[in-house]
Amino acid sequence: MLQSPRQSLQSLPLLALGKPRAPMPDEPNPSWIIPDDEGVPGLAGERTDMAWSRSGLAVVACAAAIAKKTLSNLHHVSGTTVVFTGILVAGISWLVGLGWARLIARGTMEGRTAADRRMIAVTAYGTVALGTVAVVIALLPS
Amino acid sequence: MVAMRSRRIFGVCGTVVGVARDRRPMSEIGSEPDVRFSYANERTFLAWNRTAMALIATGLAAASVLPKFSFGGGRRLIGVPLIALGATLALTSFWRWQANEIAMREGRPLPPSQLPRILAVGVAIAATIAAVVAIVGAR
Repeated sequence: MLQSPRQSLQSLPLLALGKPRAPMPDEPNPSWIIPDDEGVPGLAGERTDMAWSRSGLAVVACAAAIAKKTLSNLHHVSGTTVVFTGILVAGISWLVGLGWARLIARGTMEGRTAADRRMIAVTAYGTVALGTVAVVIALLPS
Repeated sequence: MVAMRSRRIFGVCGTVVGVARDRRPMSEIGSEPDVRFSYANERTFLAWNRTAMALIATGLAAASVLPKFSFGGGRRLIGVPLIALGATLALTSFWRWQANEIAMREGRPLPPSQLPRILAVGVAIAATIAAVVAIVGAR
């Protein structure tokens, strides 16, 4: 017996959208479960390390945006000065942002057991300060 | 209705401020949670912080890169709310991290988060302002 095009499509497992799906298993796959005795942070620590690195890069990007806006307001400054100042600001941002992130990552690898409140507060207030500077710069007459 | 709503708003703010004023060292609060939960909390804070920085950079870019509008201050009108939203998110994300950390140490359920609401409403307001400025100020 010939199948209709719809029937033949539904017979393909990937395209059988209308068919009822197999029920989910009651028990989770054993490979998903993290054993309780695994006290080491392992991959979680590594992900946190990468998150700090990304945040460092975000600081660099934010500082670069502020530098661009600040330098564009200074019309009387020569192009060479602008380029060199830009490189300097990017370098300082890199050192402050990414260097800070690496420092924290090293702490992670040495077995830091909990986030330090001061460290988180410095990061948050630093971003608020960056935002305040950005507001001031944005309100400056261009 | 109004009284209930204001009580709710003050309750939320009070909780946030109360937690923000809790200056006890973390080691004195409850017991040490699973370190993986602390890491997850830290990553969530960092993700919010990066979102805040992205908003600040976007606001600054809007204030400097966009072409001028037919009326003065159009670019600032778009950029400054985004920067302010970024700064607010950065501060709130710290409070949120602290509230989560304390809840985990005390074995309580995590408190509900206001951050997605703040972000959604803020972005919607910024987008509306940008749309109005773009329509009214087009040359």
